[in-house]
Amino acid sequence: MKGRLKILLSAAALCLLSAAAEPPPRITNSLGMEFALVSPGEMRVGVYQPHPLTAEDAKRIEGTVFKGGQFMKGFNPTPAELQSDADGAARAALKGFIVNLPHPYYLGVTEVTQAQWKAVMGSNPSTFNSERYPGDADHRPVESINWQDAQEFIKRLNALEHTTRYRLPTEWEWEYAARAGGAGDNPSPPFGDQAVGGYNSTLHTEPVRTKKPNAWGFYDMLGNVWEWTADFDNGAFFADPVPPKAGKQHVIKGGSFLSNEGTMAPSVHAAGPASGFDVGLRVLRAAEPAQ
Amino acid sequence: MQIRWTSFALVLALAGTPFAADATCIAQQPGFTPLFDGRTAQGWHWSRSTFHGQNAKASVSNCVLILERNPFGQGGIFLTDHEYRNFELYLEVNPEPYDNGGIFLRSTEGGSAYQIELAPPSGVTGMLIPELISFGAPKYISPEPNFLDLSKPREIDQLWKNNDWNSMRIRITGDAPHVTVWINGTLLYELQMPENDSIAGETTGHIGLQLHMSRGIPGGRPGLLGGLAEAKQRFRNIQIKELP
Repeated sequence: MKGRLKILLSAAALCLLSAAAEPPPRITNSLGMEFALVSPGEMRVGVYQPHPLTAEDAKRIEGTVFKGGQFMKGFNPTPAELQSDADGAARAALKGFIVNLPHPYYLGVTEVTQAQWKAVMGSNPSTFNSERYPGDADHRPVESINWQDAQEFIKRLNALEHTTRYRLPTEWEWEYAARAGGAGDNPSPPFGDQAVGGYNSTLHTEPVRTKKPNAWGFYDMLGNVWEWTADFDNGAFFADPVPPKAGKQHVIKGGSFLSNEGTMAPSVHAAGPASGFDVGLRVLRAAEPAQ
Repeated sequence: MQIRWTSFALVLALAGTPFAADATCIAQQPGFTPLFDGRTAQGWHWSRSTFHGQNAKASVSNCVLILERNPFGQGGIFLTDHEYRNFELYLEVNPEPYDNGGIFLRSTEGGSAYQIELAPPSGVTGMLIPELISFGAPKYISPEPNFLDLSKPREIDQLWKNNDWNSMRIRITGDAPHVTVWINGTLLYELQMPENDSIAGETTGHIGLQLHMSRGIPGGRPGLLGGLAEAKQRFRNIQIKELP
């Protein structure tokens, strides 16, 4: 009885302790960078189920007029070709695997802006800068940075705030926040509402928060600029459960204003250097000192 | 045959040029330098940041560079490691009908470029089109070919051989590009662009071979321009003459 009471008291104390230590859902740092808490969880990644071309698809594509031309006029695949296509699509299907995110973390609500970059670095490498966009360049994402530049920004940000909590997200930390709890691989492509990019892209960045946030409150996870992650690239179509320990390039995620609806998704696993003017970053802040 | 990667330094040492081309594979044009050695994909790489796909396959067989989608439906852009400004490009191409590809000029790593389209038999093969750039109406120096109106005769249909090898000579010079295209030895057009349309004002870039994505990711949907995902783009005799 006595032992049981002790356990109960300990459990209550733990509850109180964890309630007291419950991290706030949002924090803003000294530079005005806003971060949202991402709670632990899991997701299925690396799912691939390409669409087999059907006779109906072929007919629709055959009739497509693009930029005034009938590119595919006469396209009429044989039943054998359609069967081969269906077989190829079936063979390519991947079920993916589960990734666990055991620790809470804060992720930047927006991509790092040019104003934030200037405040930390004292310079601005961006192509879509105030010479091109005098009104709002400060609120557009910083771009034209390589991975080492991103690391230098984080080093100086940590120094400014006397902390070691800032770093780039891993690919899985980034992808988990981009999926925002959606079931399946890419439940509802939010291109029009949430992403700067697509077939009708204006071919430049837009100020952050121009589009709607995703379900967890993150802006521009898809489109606007690619975002550097901490991970080395494995050179494959999808990431492996654990990234390589070394490599030549780092993974970038999310697509940019140059990406389009058909191939812009949280799962897309790309790597630098990209075009330069289409790559920026989003910063992670550890929720726990030990993380 | 799979790509055989060889040491860049070794090839340099052997040849004095970036490519130790297989003489039995490459019919070198006077004044040109091979961009493809006929045996390996040395000097080229896949873009890892294009919406067409990040991981397509390149292989070399019988002096032919073959580009295939990988995984199923996902294309890519195969880029020269080097960047070029003013040049004449010569190559031979044998794309499968109703597949979609193209030759990128002054491309960024992510595939923003001037493109010479490859889309036989009914597409605008040979036409200069924008790929992730935006451009105004070209000023034709030669007579303007008819590309779009399939109900009228098209010059490209007279020049192009479907399901066969076709030679292309493409010249690009000037910050505002002056572009000339010959198909199978005959002039298709010569034009002057009104300005330099590259996104960041670049005047150099990679040469790229596009294998258009044919299916979306993930969940999938047919691409607008892609036909059968298993179609291949085939190139040979790729060579360049850099111009002042």
